[in-house]
Amino acid sequence: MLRILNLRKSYLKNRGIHPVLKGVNLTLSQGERVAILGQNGAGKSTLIRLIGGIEEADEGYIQSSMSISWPLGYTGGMQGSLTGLDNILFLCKIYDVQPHGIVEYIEDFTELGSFLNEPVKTYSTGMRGRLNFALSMAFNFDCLLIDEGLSAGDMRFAERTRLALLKKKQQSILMVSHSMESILDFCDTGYVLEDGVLVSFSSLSEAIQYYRHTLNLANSS
Amino acid sequence: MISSSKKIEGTPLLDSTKVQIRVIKALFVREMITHYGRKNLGFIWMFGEPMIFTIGIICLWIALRKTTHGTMPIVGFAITGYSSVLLWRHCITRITHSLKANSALLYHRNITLLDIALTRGIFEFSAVSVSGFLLSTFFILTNVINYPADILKVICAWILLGWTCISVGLIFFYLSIKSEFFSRASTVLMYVSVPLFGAMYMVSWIPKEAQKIALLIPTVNSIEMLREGFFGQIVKARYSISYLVTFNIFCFCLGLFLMSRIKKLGFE
Repeated sequence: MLRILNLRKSYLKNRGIHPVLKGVNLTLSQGERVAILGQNGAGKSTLIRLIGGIEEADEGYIQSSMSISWPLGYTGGMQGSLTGLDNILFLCKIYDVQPHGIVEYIEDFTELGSFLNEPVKTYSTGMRGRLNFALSMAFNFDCLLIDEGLSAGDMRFAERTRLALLKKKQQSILMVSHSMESILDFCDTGYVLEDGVLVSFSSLSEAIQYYRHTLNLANSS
Repeated sequence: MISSSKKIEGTPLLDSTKVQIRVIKALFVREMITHYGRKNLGFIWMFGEPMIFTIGIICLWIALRKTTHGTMPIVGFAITGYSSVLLWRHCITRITHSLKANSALLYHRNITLLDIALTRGIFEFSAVSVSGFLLSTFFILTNVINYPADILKVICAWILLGWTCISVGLIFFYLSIKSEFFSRASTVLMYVSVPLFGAMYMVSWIPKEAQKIALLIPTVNSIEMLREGFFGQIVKARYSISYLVTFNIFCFCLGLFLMSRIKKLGFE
């Protein structure tokens, strides 16, 4: 169970304060897969970063009985000048996991082959996304935080991901993405982040509909 | 698959210390691999680089006959002096600039800015220590310098100096993250600090008035102590261990306090 209570976060601008999250509430139970929709700059990534422990909130609580992954995105999480393999070994130490079995699992899952012996900075975005995701799968977190991370992979990888996630029914997902395809693929509930608060809906399709609606309004005004 | 460690929010002190030690160990190894590659003897560069620097300076000082002060052996003077300068400079500048290479790692909740800064500090301390140790051993075995008069004093002085360097490094790290201006100015500060730092002179060589001021500089105290440990009573060393320890504790706590305000990059 992950419970977020009245989460607030603002950033300093050149002049004044820019409030991003103005009291976010969210409860995520084990096995639930949630998408967060919202326009650019709505604060989706900020929310993910707060839950991932990369930043600290100004106010509010994040309580969790689950282990939570780092935000899986296009960037972050890996050290560029280390090889893929060294990154794996490094993160095994950080998360206190025996590397035995992990390396084989990742080799198999990412299909990166000999690229695992190359520095991560030479990887394409898709390759990095694959490695990042495979690592988090190997570490068996209770909850995955995905910040556009899955959209980078190709269809073959998307298929493998879906199969892997289907097998782990107990794993929760909190996902931010602009790709409706991957949201429909992986999630069963949706929220829209708007004006610094989360709006909830009874179904994912309603959330998507509402989100499309707000986009149209924004375009016409 | 193996289940990963559970959430760590609000872990007791002992557990979080264990996590921190584990993280710093892993970062240390990472630091070694990225600096020097993992091929064959790449790790030799870790202490090879400061050794080459020091040897260069020794040659230069011998050529210039820089010290004419009585009984001070010039090679020993250069090793103690320049190793200390290297420790000071490497620790501080490399802690200050450690963020860039490591910022992607802050994505992992267990890794904090303090871990990154401390690891860099410990890493540089180890590198310069090994370099200094190997050089002294070489020159002792070749009878260029004598065996240290008081090896324990040498070690204590060296650790006290390292402690100062890492503490000041933490403060510099915080300030340069907070201020772009400081980050640039710190390079100049480092240049200015070297002549004052205590490596190029002994306190007893300078005028009485200046001595009082010099002894306010903590690194002057530790280098005096280091040289007394090395050469014994032939140098008239002046220093205060209690001043040094007080300064270090104050500086280190200030550094830790500042770092606790920016655990992660989510500052402002």
